[in-house]
Amino acid sequence: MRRIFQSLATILAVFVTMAGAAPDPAWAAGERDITVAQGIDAEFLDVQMTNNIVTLIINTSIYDTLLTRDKQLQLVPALATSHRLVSEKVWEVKLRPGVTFHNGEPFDATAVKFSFERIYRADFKSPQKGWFSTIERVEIVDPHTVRFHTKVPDPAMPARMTLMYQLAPKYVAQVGDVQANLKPVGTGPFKFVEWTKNDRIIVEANDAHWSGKPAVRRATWRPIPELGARIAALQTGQADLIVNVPPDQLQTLTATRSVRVEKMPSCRIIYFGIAQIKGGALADRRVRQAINHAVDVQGILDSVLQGNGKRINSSMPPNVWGYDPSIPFYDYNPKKAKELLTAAGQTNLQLTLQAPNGRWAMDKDIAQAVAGQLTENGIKTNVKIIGEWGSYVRSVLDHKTEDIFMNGWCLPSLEPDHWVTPNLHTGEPVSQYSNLEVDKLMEQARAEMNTEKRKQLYSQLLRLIRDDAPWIFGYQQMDIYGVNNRLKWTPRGDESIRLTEIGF
Amino acid sequence: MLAYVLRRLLQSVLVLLGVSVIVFGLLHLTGDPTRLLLPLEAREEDVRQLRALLGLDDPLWVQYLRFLSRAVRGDFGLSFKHQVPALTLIRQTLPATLELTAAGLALALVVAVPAGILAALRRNSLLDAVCSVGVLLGQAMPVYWLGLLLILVFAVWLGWFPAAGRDGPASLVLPATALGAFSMARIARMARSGMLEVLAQDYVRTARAAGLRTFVVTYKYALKNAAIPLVTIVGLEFGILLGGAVITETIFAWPGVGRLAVDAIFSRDYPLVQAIVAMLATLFVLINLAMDLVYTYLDPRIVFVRSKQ
Repeated sequence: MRRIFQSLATILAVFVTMAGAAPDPAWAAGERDITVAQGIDAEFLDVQMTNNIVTLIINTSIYDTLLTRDKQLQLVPALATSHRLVSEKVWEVKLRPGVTFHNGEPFDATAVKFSFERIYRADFKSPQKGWFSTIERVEIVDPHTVRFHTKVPDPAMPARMTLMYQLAPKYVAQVGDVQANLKPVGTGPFKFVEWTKNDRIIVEANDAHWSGKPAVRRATWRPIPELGARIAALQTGQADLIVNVPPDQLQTLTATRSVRVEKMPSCRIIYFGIAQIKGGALADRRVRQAINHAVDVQGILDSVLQGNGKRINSSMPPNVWGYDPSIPFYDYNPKKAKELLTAAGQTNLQLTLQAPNGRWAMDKDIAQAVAGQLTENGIKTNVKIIGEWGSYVRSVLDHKTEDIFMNGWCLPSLEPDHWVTPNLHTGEPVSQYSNLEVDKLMEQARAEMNTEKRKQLYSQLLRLIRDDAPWIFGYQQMDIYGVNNRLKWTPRGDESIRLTEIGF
Repeated sequence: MLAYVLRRLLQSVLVLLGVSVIVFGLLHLTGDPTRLLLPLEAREEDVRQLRALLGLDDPLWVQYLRFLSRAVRGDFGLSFKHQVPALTLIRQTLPATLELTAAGLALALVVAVPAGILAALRRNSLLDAVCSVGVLLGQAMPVYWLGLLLILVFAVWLGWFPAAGRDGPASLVLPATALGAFSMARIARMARSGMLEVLAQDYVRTARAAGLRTFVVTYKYALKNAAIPLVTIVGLEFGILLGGAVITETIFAWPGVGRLAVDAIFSRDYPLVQAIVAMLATLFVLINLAMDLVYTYLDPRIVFVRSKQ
């Protein structure tokens, strides 16, 4: 019997030893140290390997871009102090002097050229290749001046410059791509300290940053996927700032005294695409308009999202330059919907609407509400939930969606063309719509170098899209954050979290 | 004995090979990962280029053989999504999972074995009833729900333990409890019924009749035989716990291999999924093998019977 106890004791001892091997309690948080909890970990700290918004947010603390956007989302200088159009296809950019990377390497024109060319290196799997596809080459004029030569006249160049993250050429060449990802070096306001996959990324203030000393001394980015745990982490002070709080959890947060809620209408729009290219009834504009009149978007926002969302009048949110507030919303008008359907000879229409589950706040519930109203107003609509995002994406990219598909859209460039062309241009991967008149206007607008004229073109385009109704125009998502009261911070309209904007 | 071990090892290799074929086949049935790696607005030509770079254009059998020939040399390739060797990612996350699983199992054993034995010895007593209710609760509560409940009570209300993350021993308590609860219930039940069965056997009655003290009868003679089914269960439980860790790790933001696996599956990260499955399958097979060997130690008749077959 002693042997049994011995063996049991041995097994237990092994387990206990393993359990005891955990790291020590890592940080007794200093007064100006903060922890930000998001749903996922950074995919990469090699910023050129990602297009994921959460990953970009984290990387923006380590890397700088040529231009950036201030809190009002206006373009402002960053590593570029100025930019100007030299000729229709040449942009000249003056670089900030005296800037060094965290490893001491100087930032100059070579770095800009290197950073651009690295994305297009044949064996480099950057998902950012599409972001700069209009650029032909980068020319070094002098150590602090570069010229971008574009293939076509490209008024979106300044917006693209907000995504041109700058890497240290010598460092990357020396350590290689894999190490550059694991130990990132940038010029940003924070220096990389540590990355434990799926656990934490720690950065510390770079007091030599050109924008001055950040108030936050040390920041920890933590991925906490489960919403309940994320909220608990905020309530217990384990996290100071959490993202993606759904509207139905607001009460829980407001009940905690040390915590407040911050909201901001996002650049992300949620829409219900109508698969016009499928033909049949959906090819008839009157049917698509009827569908829009048959859905009470505001009513759904009020009931399902408790008012956390703002209707959109066409295919752009107000945060994006080019938006036109004078375009009217579709009014909720079941009678008009019926008239339009009768006129189109579609009085017995049956549709299927597809939606994901858990991709956007209360997506499934909203889809069900939309289908419910359509059915109530004479368009019998079934809901098909595709929970797995990979399959969902495939149905969209293969142009094999159901009659109506839910989609959300925001690109970090905030460039107006990026809201219309990918979603609505004929033949684009996401687009389930084709209208040559719309195509022509998009092409014209994205090449127009005169700002005033360009703005008019977008107004015209958005009005045309509104009338042709390729979507049920949905809403602008509300970004909801939980914040510890010791932080002075308000959110931005581009889903980003800038550590430099946090005070105490 | 040696022949037995060798035969079991050979069987294990076949099992692992089978697992690799099934996983490889199933993964490639789920669709093209390039679509998920690139932004939605990416052009067809970018998609084609990436497919070629990732080696996805080759026929399936070529891809499988390439995978196999590398895998036997310990190279599972670069994770599509993270562009880091799959094994490096596993090396970073596996310790956290083993720590959690071991703690969960240890907790389950420490509570469940004495509870089960005591319940058997004091059959139909209040203690037995309390244990039965505990077992019922443990088996009925989903990890997901129990996890959130533990966070609410012990992190938010009482503030005893952190709500999420891996920050030292204190942070291990809640996830290990959530993970271990189900096993705890099952082990307690097995311990109780195993003990009851043994206690009813002739040799126990004989021992008692011979005037041996109850303590000696129970712990020297009965327990050893009651332990045999428990050892099997512990081996199996370890595998079940590794699986359960997927959910527990997600709830408690525990940086383990389970979360890595879920993430890899959803992003169709073939190399990473294959590496994780291969690693977990190996671990599972090895643990079962070890348990079988412990078995033979506890009951020498087992080898004898098997080698006769």
